[in-house]
Amino acid sequence: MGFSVIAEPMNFVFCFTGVLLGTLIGVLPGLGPGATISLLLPLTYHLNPIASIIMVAGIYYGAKYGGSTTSILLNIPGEVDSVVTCLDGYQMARKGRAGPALGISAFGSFIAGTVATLGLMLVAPTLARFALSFGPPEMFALMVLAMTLIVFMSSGSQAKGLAMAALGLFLGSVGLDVFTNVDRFVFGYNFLLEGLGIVPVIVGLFGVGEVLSNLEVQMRGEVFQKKVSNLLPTLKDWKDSFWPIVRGTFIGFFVGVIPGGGGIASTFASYTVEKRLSKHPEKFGTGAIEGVAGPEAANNACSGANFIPLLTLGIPTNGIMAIIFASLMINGLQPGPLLIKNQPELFWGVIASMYVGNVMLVMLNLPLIGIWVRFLTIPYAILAPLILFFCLLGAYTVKNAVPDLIIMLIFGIVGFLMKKYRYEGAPLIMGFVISELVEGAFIRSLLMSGGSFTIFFSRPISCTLMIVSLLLFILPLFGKKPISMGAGDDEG
Amino acid sequence: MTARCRILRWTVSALALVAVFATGAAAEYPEKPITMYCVFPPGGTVDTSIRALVPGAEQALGRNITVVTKDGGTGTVGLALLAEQKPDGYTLASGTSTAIVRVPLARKMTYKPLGSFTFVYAYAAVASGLLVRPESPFKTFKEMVEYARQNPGKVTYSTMGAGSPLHVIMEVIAMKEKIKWTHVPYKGTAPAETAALGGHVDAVSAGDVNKALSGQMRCLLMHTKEKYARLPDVPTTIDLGYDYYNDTLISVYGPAGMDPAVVKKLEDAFAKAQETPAWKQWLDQFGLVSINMRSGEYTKFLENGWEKEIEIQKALGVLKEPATPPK
Repeated sequence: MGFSVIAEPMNFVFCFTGVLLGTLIGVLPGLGPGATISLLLPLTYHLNPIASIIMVAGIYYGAKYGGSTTSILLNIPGEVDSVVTCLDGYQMARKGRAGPALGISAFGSFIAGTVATLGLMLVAPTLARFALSFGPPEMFALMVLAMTLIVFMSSGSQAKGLAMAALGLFLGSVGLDVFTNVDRFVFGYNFLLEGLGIVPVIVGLFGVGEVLSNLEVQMRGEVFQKKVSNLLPTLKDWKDSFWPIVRGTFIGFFVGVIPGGGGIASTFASYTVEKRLSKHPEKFGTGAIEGVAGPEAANNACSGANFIPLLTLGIPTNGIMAIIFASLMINGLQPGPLLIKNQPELFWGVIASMYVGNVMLVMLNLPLIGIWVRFLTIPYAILAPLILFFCLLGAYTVKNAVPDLIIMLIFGIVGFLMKKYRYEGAPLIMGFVISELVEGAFIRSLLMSGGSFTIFFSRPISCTLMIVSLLLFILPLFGKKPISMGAGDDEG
Repeated sequence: MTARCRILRWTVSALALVAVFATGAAAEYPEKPITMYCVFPPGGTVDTSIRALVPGAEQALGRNITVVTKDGGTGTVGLALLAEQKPDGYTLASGTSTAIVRVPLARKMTYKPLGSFTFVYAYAAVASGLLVRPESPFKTFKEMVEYARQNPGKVTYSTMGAGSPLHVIMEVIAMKEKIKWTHVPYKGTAPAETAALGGHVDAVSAGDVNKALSGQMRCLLMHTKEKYARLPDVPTTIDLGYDYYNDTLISVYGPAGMDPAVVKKLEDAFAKAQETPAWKQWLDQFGLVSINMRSGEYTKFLENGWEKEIEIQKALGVLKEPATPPK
């Protein structure tokens, strides 16, 4: 039935518009689906609800496809979630393997997106109920696991990586405390009350920072291929990427369902898991395709799974879902468990549109690869200001706030210094993202238990996760040979 | 004609000219499009409410009103920005009364809550309430209170934020009933409701009762001043004798010092807009209560509210002195 909905020309057109917009926005650093969707929100009031949800959904998961493009080609994440793709994707591009990186990224995204949609179709209600049982103690245990894995994020000095993670945890605490309404490190600046925005920080650290460090080297960015010869991944690439894509899909799907699970968390999780499971972890950070395939798959599976709590329980798990939620309400459609029953056309229509959308995206993205790479042959003297312009634009559109631009520029300088002295940005971002989640989960758990720490172990899911973290932490000490995590362990 | 007569004639004409000019200025308003800040994020209740109201007002005024998001700090960031704008009626903001009567008590604001604004019109009242999941053992509010009395500190409830009216109302009840329950704050209504749905907290003091209207949760208590028409069997805090209710109003503000004639035009426009089907439909879907409080009444309401809130918070022991001077 869903396919009859999507076959309707109006919906089809909106789906295409959505994914096209999404891809473009994903590619541009800083500019994200959030800002675009809120701009389009008034439009959706006048449109037929199914069409507008299809379009908004298309923008959302389309952006996940496009986000990896600049990550791979320029070491600048196009989307907040694509930070991790920079790590190995860019290194692959430097070795002349931009084509396979982009290709595997697109295909991995397609597979993950399709599987996620399948999951949405088949197991949505059951999974949603499981997601509900994920409360503060479970979240905390998951965050403990995440922090254990941060160690595996750095390809350079582990000490530096941990230092950056700690810095990230600290930076994430800036703002109004949820529990006591005390302002932390705000210094009277109203715009810091909500915290340092993740978009200005990432765009500054990775976008502006990258441009600045390139300018220092020479007025010349690295252009790797004058023509795209090996566009497609080789058979070996496929073999290497197969399991990462499978694992990434599952990880992304799982993270996307739980309340509070975001795209960036799923990519971090996938990357660290792949590195941990790999037979040659030292390759990560120098161009291992597993480091691109896994996270990209996770990202797209996550965005599909994000719809589950919204469409089955009427609970939006992030800002964009909240906008879709409002859009549904305005059109008189009550999101909740009855949505599937009362509005089957909407539910199945959106699912069908996701299948179709993923196909459209893969068909869009592959030929575009050639164009993007050609785009890079523009002299860096022109490219650099263009990139900076889009960074500024992207950071501004988050909240129409000028202070965000200042934050971005400050972090641009920080990013530049970090690259110069070989401190990695990925662990910092991970710490930043986790900060609020881990603190919130911890305090809420203790509020629930009346101060008792046993709550983390008396509940099955959180107990399991805590034990897993403990094991992961201890096991390397008992391993036969020490796991060398770094391509280069500098003491500096 | 005597000199006196001539002087009189000139004075009268001069006065008439001035009068024409003054009303003339108001008669010209609005000459250009109006900007309306929405101090809450897109897709939320306040944002959708003003977007539903604006088309009717645009028609009445004959000019476009553009809604621009300037969110942050429960509306304080946007209002701080508004306070600095010219009071010519071309820059307005839509937000809740929380940023005027509550938040400034706890933190020092750059604006004077009662002094930096013209309170133009209050158009909707929040219909908040206490929700529990269907499997909850509590069938009535009294049951929950009694259980809390027997087990101090064991009953947990979530809200969208510490210091929010939803939090304060639960603590006022606790104070009056002499019981203790535990508050678990979240950032936003959605995670708070999820926690209650999942059974991690016993109840959620929610900003809207839509989940009860749809049957997904049960409502034990309403925080409205009068019985809520859509849930007539649910008692309100006033019904139960607590002498307190959630008086948060969604309203339109302007910078201080706006021309009263301009304010009147805006009041009329918003009142007109509340008769449009678009507004009625929005009310229906989001479950709020429509209010028509014009500037004079609303200003008095807020001034009283300021005093009342200080009193209550001092009684609760959470406030020593207001952090921001009102005027």
